[in-house]
Amino acid sequence: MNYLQPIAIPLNASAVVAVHGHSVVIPFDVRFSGQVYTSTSVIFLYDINQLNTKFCMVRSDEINLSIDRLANYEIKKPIPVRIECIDDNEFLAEVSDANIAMTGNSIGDALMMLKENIESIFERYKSKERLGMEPSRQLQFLEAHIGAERRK
Amino acid sequence: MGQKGGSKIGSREALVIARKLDASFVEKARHTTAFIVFKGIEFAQFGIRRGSNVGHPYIPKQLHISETEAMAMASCTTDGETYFKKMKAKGHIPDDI
Repeated sequence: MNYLQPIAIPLNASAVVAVHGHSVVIPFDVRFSGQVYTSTSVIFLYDINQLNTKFCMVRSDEINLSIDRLANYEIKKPIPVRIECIDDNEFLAEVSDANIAMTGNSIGDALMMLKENIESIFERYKSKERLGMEPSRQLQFLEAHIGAERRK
Repeated sequence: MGQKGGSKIGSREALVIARKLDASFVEKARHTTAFIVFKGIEFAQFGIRRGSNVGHPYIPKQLHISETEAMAMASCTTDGETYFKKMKAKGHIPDDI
């Protein structure tokens, strides 16, 4: 079992919806670079006593988040992202439905890399007249989630 | 030398694979995206992180091959032509292209 890095979780009593021994089911928002990602994952706290702190050791191989903001584009609907801890300080961020992924040295790093990659792919594919099967499917997915270019 | 993340595909191997497939590169602030184009048609893509000791475990899946096959390309035992033939055989590239 991998142990993710400590994640800042805004803790309040109403966030805890179930307690089973040392495991707590808790919906939470994760903040990276000023942005908030809402997780719908079930997470397992390594030590329930750490609920009193702002940081918890999260015991889970996987977190599901969603991207609701890109640097250069509006978002039509949140892009679901799966984060997997694959090694010490090594995280995989993947849009499974579109087969787009990147790795990073932290959850935030992996997410930032993924967002940058998503924009690269979206910009490239929407400018092409003919795409192969996989890129067509990816563009269809991205167009359903990404809107107009943000005015600078 | 193995890379982090349990993947043997580091930045160097990722670049070798991309060049072997004659990829078109788009540079961004933090990474490079390699777009694989076959006879003028976009076919696949993968991101390459900058840095020497980072894993790229997602590349095989994005290229529709196994990690062993990806490493064979990185170590020059498989060429781009063989890869594209495989992709045609698997149906990832239409026969009329």
